Amino acid sequence: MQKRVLVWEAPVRLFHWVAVISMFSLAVTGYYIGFPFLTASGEASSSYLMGWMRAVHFVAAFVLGIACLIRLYWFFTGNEYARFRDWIPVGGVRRSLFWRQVKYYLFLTRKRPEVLGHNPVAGLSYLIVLLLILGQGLIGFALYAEAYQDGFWRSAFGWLLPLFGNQNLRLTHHLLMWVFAAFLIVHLYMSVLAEIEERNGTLTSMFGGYKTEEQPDAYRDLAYREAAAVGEKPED
Amino acid sequence: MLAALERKGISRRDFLKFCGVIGAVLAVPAEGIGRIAEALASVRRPSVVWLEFQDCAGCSESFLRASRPTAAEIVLDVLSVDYHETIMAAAGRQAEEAKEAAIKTGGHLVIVEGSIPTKENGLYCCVGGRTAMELLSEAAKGAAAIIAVGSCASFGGLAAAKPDPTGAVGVRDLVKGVPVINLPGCPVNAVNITATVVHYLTYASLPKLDEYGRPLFAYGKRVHDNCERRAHFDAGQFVEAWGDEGHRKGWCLYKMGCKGPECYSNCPTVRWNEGTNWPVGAGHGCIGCTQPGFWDAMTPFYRRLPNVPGFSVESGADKIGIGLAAAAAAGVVTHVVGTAVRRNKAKAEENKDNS
Ligand code: SF4
Repeated sequence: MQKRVLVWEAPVRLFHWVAVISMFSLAVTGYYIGFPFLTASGEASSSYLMGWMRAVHFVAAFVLGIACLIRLYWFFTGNEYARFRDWIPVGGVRRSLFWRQVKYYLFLTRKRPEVLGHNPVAGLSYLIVLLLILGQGLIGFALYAEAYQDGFWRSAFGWLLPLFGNQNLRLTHHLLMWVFAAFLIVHLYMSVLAEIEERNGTLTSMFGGYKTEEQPDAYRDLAYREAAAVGEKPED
Repeated sequence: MLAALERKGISRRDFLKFCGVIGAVLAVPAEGIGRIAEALASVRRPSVVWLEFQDCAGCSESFLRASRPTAAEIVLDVLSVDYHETIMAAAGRQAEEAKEAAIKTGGHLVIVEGSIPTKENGLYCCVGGRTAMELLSEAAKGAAAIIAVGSCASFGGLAAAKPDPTGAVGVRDLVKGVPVINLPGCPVNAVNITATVVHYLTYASLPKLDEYGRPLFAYGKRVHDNCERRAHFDAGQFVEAWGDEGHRKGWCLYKMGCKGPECYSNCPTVRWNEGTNWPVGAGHGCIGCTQPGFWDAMTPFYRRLPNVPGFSVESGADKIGIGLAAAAAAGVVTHVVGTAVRRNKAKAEENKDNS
């Protein structure tokens, strides 16, 4: 028997797509800011190309920053799939699931572990990406603060400038963008793979929030958890 | 002092004009100009000891060519430069005695040009048989303030660039207990020396400094924000190669590696050579010479991003980034193939079981 479960609550889905759109805009405009590959023609007064690129970059940064803060809050408030624990492979069940998932990806086992929320490998990668986003934001706002000699931005983020120097910060900012690009490639592939193999609506759940789940009876559920703890899949 | 100036053929009008220029550099309100004039007209000349260590004398040159018509003269009259190896008439014992006398009185200003080597007990720079380190600490005793002019005296400058054979440092790294003002630049703009001294004489205090010890009146704004090419930056009009059409049209030098966006200095507003021009105005990108860590921190001068440490010169950040993304894509492709193989195997086994 199958059951529809609300896995991704609205704030989680919203965060996901806001992050997608803002990170995409940040990457494109940021690439332009680092290497302005288009040149405007005519009088300087008639165009504002770099100006708009920077404006979009800054606005998207603010949007992503606020979205991250809300997501952090939701780590403590959301349902079981939105919580911190889903991203950190600690505790017997999660840890054993984590290694089984890694083995599965490396073709060492044939059965794909069944997880309704984030599989622990994906969860850990999102935790890392979130930390990288926060780091990227820290660097970005330090560079943003360069235009100010004092005031809020300078005092909040300016301390990074004498610590690491502008050139190193910009280089890191630039390289991290490529790390996100690499993540995007793997992330897209993994989700399509999950969609094909799990057949529980992984991709559409990112819009509607619902996944389908085999209705586990209490006994099976318990057996499943115990088996997971010792690293095996219970026989059906 | 005004009488002395008049004897030299400097009119009251010229004097006030000078006060106005310095007032503008210091960004004091109009009422402040009168106060500057008053202070300068009545002041006792503080004695100045100008020390040169690991330098190229470029800051001295810059100082001597101080462009505001009467600035050099006025500064030389306002101050009593008792010791300056390059320009003083005295030599040998006589010169050293002049310095000793100035230092003994105390309350003097020390201007330092050039970095101070610290390796081998400072052996790499000796004047009159004594190391720069000794000479500096001796001159600093009882001084009202030390003004480090140029990037070398401020942060170690050129001599401190890799591999830094002499262990060069700036004044602030050695002198404690005496206020040190950094006036970096390669060379320093003489207007900023004058303005700092005038501020000291007028207000009997030193100007407000930023976290690197640089006066905010001169180093409080980014080159980029006062640059005359900024409109082209915002518009998205960039020079792609020296001498191309954009270069001739005065477009932004950002893509040629201009460090204006990360450099703080009043170059675009006070300019050089009687206010004629400045590097970016003349068509060369800013190389960020007023920033700590110059030169290393600002190279490569003609590219936006530095090279990634540990990789060869050719591998810019983008190449490495594309490599990273390509590696991820290759991993995905490998996994797709692996998954297909696994599927086929599973199917084959299923068929075997069924048959
Ligand atoms: S030339 Fe340099 S300082 Fe001027 S606008 Fe362009 S990047 Fe900024």
